[in-house]
Amino acid sequence: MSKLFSFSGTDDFCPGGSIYTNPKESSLFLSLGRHVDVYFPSRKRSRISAPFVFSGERFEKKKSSIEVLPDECLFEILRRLPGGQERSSCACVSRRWLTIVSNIRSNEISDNKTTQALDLNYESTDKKGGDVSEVEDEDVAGGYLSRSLEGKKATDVRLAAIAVGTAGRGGLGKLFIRGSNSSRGVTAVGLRAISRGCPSLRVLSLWNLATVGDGGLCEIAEGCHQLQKLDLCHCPAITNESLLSLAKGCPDLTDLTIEGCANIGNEGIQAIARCCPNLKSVSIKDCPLLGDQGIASLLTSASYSLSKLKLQALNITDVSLAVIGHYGKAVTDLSLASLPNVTEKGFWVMGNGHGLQKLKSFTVKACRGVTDLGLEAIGKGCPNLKQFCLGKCAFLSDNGLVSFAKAAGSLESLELEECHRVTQFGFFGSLINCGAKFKAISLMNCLGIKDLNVGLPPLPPCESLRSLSIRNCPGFGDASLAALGKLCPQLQNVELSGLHGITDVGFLPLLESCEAGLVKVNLSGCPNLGDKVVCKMADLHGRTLEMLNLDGCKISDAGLVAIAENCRLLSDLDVSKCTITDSGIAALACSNLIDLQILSVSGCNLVSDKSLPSLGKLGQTLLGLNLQQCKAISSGAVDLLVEQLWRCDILF
Amino acid sequence: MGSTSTKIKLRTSDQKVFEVEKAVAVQSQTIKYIYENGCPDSVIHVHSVSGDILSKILDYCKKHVNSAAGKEDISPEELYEWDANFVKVDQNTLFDLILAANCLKIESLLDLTCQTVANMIKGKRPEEIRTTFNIKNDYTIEAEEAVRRENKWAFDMLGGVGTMVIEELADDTMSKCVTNTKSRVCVIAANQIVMMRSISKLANKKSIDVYKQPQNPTTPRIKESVKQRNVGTGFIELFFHFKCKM
Repeated sequence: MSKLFSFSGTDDFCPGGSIYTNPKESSLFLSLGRHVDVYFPSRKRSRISAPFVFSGERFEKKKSSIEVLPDECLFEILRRLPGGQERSSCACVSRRWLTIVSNIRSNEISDNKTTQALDLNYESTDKKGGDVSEVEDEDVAGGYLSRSLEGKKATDVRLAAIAVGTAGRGGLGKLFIRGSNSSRGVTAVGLRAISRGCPSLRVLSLWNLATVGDGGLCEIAEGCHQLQKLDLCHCPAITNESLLSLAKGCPDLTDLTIEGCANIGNEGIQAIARCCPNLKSVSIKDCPLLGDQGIASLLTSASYSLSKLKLQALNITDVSLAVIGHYGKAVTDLSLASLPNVTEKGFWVMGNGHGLQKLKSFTVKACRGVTDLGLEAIGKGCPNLKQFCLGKCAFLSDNGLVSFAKAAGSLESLELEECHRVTQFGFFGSLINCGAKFKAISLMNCLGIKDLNVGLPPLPPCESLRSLSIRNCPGFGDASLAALGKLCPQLQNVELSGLHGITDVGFLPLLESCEAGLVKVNLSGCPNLGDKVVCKMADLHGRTLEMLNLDGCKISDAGLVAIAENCRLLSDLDVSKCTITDSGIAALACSNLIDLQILSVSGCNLVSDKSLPSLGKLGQTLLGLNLQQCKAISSGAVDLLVEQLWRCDILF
Repeated sequence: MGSTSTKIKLRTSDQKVFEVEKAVAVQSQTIKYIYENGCPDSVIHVHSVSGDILSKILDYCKKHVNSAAGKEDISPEELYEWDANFVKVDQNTLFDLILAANCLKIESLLDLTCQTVANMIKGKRPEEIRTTFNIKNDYTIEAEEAVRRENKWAFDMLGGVGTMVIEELADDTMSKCVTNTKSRVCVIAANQIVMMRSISKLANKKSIDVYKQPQNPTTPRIKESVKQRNVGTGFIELFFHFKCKM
């Protein structure tokens, strides 16, 4: 609080001690009682400035205060302040001053040189202050700064402070506000301050703000004409009004993301699509009022500019898909998720619309309409499709997968998640029938995959596959793994995580078949893989291995020794929950070859304080070290490490 | 009645009546409007202005009208000086002049008086502004802290130009600021100045990791990392990450 009111115990009015229990009670000043010793020896002057000593009622008229001026006069005064530093000082004076200063638009700041000449008659207390003002007046407010307000700190006062504070020092470019359900949240007042003070705002992101309504966004639309990216998430008070004014005020809009805004509908999206010629990316999730009409007008208006489209949890039907298929001439990334009213016909029409010529990445999740027929149409209709991700699809069969792989000639990456009807035959079938550019395949949680129980006939290998990822498919076993090894000799990145069915028996042949060296290997959560695998890997692929994750495998010190001796390029090693001990760590540290950057030994209970010197030596190159759940390492040791390895980020 | 000397009568809030030439009175847009849209012979009430203030205002208007019309031989510099002396009054009068200029809509007087007050504000820190103008600080502690943090130019703690002060370092502090390259950075923790660094020395490095060893055990130990980025002419954005250990 104001220092003017702070009375400390040492500054007594009278030697006998203060008789005033509460010095602010004005009535006590009107008459000094007889028991008060009025004489006090000369000492340093009281810190209280004269007017406040006589703050009794009858003296109020003599007190001059700028508070008598109405807001408009104070505005006239404050807008004549020459520089950002002065405005910042004024913002700190009181709430009222902050409100007024933050509402000054940049074109309202007066630079009237003639009356500023009067300044010469007044002494400036900070003589060097003039220097700073000159420098910052020349600067271009290019929106270099970004600010993020979260939770309780998301208030109007802070927004006003930001608006004033960033104005002369580079300008605010990005603003992220993450609200909470507090009563004192952000309202239109705060956003008005931002719109007046931050004309260079380019990115605005508002999450969870129930108190922000159309008023606030209309202010932004009026002041921030350079807005390019807008992100609205869970702001139920925002309606089409806001989007209409944003469409008029912010023609440079390129990215629009709307999630969970129940009152935004077709008109708003139509307006934006019509008025913003540079609209590149639109992502809409969970807006029940948005329908086919909005999507159709979006696609037709932004046909040549829209490149990324993401639609999730909307009430759109096959009509929208047809429009996308026909008008999505510039679309490169398309994502459709949780669309309950879309059927097979929609996908078929989309593929046959022949408009999606530039489509490179297509993601479909939890849409009932994805069937063999629909998918094949997509494969044929999108000749440049490189990446396809399919999730939660219950209808896709092995045949559908194979015919898709055949049809999509440019396909480079395929991801299947929870497609339970796909079996190992479909998996291998797609590898055999894929195009020449097929680089990466990923299966996650596909319960239909079981181990191969018949041998595969000799097949031409799939030379293009570089990345393999199979996660949490419990049926996947050694036979499949071995067959994969033979089929794909050029693998570089292998991820086999959460697979309890694979053991050394299946993995070793894969290691031997890989002619190109393995670069990234992730075997986390495969409890049946052990030291043999690691030793073989270090031996065969030590020259190329960069990342190795053995979280939860049965690895012991022997494995670490093998790594230390052979893996010269290894920079990221994770041996969490393995049965390694101090000697393994020591072996790593002693190695001349290795320059680890990231090491995780979390959950290794046999690693104790004795490893401290080894960790210290490794720490010379380490950037990240994970020591969580290492019960045998004492907190003293951890503190020592933290001190010593100041360059490294240590988790403990 | 000659058109060159039409007079207008003005009555103030304390019932004083002034008779002035039309040319002088219509410097006020308000009076001009009332005069042109009302009965020209009646007295115009300016009930929000007192006699003293109106008298001063009419002096001002007269001076400016005469100098513009060439009736007085006064150079622009002399007029500036006259204006400067005109506003050398106590605060109460100055504020009354502002209120009156606003109410009567006299553009140049409003400009003059407001600029005068603005010049009084210039160069002062917030506490000094509050003292000078008797303003009550109605911020809560947190709000004031937040506003100051965001508006940290150089509240001149150390007498230097553009000193960026990071006050009261807590255990893990991230701080970002844009400052000019002539500035210094000063870090204060537990009421001790633990680090002073000149920005220009940081200018050539992309990121610096420095761990400062304490001279005496009671000084907090600071691990700092600084990333800097050029933002426009002469400005640097600095992103500080401090880890403090007492």
